[in-house]
Amino acid sequence: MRVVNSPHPSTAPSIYLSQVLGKPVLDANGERVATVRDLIVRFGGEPHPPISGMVAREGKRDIYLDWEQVADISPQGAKLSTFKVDLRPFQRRDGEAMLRRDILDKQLIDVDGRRLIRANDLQLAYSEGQYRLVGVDVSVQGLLRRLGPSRLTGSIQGRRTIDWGDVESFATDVPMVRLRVSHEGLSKLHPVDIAHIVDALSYRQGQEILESLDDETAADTVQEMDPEAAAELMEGLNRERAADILDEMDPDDAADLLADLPEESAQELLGLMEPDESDAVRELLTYEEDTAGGLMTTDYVAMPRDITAHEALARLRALEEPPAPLYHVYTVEAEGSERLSGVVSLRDLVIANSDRPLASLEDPDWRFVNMDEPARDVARLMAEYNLAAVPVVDGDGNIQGVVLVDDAMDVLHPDLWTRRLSRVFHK
Amino acid sequence: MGDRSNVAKPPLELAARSRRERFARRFSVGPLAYLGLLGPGLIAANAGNDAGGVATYASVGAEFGYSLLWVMVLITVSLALVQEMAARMGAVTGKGFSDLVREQLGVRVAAFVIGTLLVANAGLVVSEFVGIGAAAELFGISRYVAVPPMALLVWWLVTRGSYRRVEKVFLAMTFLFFAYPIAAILARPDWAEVGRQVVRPSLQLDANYITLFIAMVGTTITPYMQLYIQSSVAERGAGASIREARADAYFGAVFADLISGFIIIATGATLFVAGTHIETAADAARALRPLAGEYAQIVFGAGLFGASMLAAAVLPLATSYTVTEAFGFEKGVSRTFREAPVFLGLFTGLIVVGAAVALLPGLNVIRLLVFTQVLNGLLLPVVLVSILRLVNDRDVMGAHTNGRVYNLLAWATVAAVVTLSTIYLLITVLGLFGLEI
Repeated sequence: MRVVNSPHPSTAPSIYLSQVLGKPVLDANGERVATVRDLIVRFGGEPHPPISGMVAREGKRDIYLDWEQVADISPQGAKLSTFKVDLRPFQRRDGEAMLRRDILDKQLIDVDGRRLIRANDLQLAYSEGQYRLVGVDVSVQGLLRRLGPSRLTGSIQGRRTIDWGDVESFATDVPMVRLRVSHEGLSKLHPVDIAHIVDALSYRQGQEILESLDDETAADTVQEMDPEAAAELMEGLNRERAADILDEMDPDDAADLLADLPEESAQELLGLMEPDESDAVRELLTYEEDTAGGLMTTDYVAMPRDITAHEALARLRALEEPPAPLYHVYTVEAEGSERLSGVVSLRDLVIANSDRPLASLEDPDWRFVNMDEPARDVARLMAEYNLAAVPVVDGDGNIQGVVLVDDAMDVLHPDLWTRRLSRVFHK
Repeated sequence: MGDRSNVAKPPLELAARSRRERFARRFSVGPLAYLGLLGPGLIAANAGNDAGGVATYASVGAEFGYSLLWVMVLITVSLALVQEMAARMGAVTGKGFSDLVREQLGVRVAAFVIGTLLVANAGLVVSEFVGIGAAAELFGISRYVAVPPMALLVWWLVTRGSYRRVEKVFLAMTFLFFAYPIAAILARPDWAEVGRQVVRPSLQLDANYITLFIAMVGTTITPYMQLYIQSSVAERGAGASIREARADAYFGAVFADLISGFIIIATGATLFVAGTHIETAADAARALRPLAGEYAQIVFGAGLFGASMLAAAVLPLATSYTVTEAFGFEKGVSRTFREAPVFLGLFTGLIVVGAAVALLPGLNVIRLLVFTQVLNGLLLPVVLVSILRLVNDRDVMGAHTNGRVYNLLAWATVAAVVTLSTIYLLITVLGLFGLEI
């Protein structure tokens, strides 16, 4: 005997969305009244959002069935708990997503695996009194299940399912409703990982991610991205917001990014940035890109060579925002001078007796480069002498900035092509 | 430029940085760029003038003189429409073709369409390696000696990430094909006759005629170009305006087809008049003699080599991305075989197959090149119908779906290609039974 009004499902603990779609909807009498067209989930705080409704095809129109009316779903179809179908036309509501239309086949982020996936199928399971979206099938089996005739391949089990709690979807895939998709999980990843994901995304999805991050994380992410793609993304952001992110970036990276923008946009953003930050960036923008001047950052610490180690450390502590990374303190002839006289490594500074003057701690064979030194030569020099940072001086011997090893490495090892088809074409 | 902004700070000193060069790549600025000279539309449409394209146009000119020029006019209209639709989809959705096909048309349709693209592109990859072999033989180097190392070189350049550095060299070599318009003019064709053939449609129910007709369609409106233009426009993000993308697509189509038309005129004025049939690359090169004289083979060979190497690298790569993006496999050339088996397997497989076919003994180079273009023509309707379904979907395009005239012209293209393909297949099947029309 068939129990129609059972509050518990009679089927296996989990089923796939593809096994339900297109199957008959039976009323309490067992009469076929419609076919399953889509399932609706309500996104809230839960890691496994509950299914809140069904869209069914009846004749030539789509009707909405509240989940209250649905007794059970299974690979055989859906059973209703009512004898009469309430014929309400379907309308989208805020906070809800349609599994087939908005999520199936779409690109999603596997936060745990730090990569992009495509939803070959969706796994539903009954737990805590409700059917819920519990996972995304990303396996080839998931593809086969839907490719073949359902009689033959419909029950193939997925080999790789990713828990929905580790998955983030895109609000941009659901244009009709305002869907609040938080990218909270993503923002906890390392900026390098976020950058890889954003690089592999389409422009709009990348923008959605960037907008959801806080200024600092966004800045770190943008710095790690393909420079041209980063510029495109920043140009599309709200101006104020873009300026806030630029403020948080290292001046040299901000300069490289602005250089990739049309002049008017760059000027506008510079005008919106914090004056301190934009001054540094403006200066960097005047240097040729593939020289030491274009490679360097202006974030460094210089101190007169006659002060003591104790005094130097005190000054470092007093800095509001000490440069990061901080490998060296650069010594200049006198207070207020910019004339570079030597380099003191942080190591030597920290272990020295506190009354030693900086002059006595200067590295005996330190190196510097000129502003117009080609970037590749700078990078080679740093690689050859194992330098973490090298100061850059102008024609008068005044220190203008510092080239850091991570920026130099980009010159020697440009990134391989990114993971997107469009970048193959994008010259 | 900077004088309108009322920022108190001194304007940027731009000249010092390499910004100008980067600016030029955005087709939203500058008068040259506005003409579409540097937009993806031009690059995409000109990709049709590769080994297979040149072989096809040269064969058309040599076999039928100017009498297929009117087709070129119609194809140009179709190409402009199709390229514009693809560009518009890119601008509106911000997504590539394979993304849209998979997301909107479902797994089964996606598998069919992407499978079709795979076959069509594999045909093109073959044609590129045949082109490399043919170019080598023009310089007196056996293709058995030239093709395998070139295939290895292409694979190595792309997977080791240094392809970008040599790309421009290949690109520059393809400009040698611009010698065709000059050669065409120097050959003193009967311009009145050319003009007449451009506007006067005529049709022959001849196997060779139909074959070259479809090859012309296939090589001019190659599915690969739509992938290219759509993802390039999508990638531009904020900078992509529909109007500019449209102008670029139209301009690219017209410009590319002008070059193609001149190849037909050049060969028509020389080879057709002399009654020469094209059997080898050397025959095709002869049409450049009015301009290059005894150097015709060198000019043609270098152009062919550059165009073929360019496409031999980009096509397998683009195809691998198309397949893996649609089905969510791991992708990227910097991956290992273990991390991205499908992607690297496809990429490597396409190059191996392309090079292997190009080494088959007793190959009729021109005929094979033309055949790969016929294959593209036969498969074109699948791609066109998918584009039409997507571009007319309000969920996808919002207010930017096709107008009525647009749809009419586009469907007319599909109908024409399907009709031609049917006739072609019919002739081929009858040919198998020894019947000839």
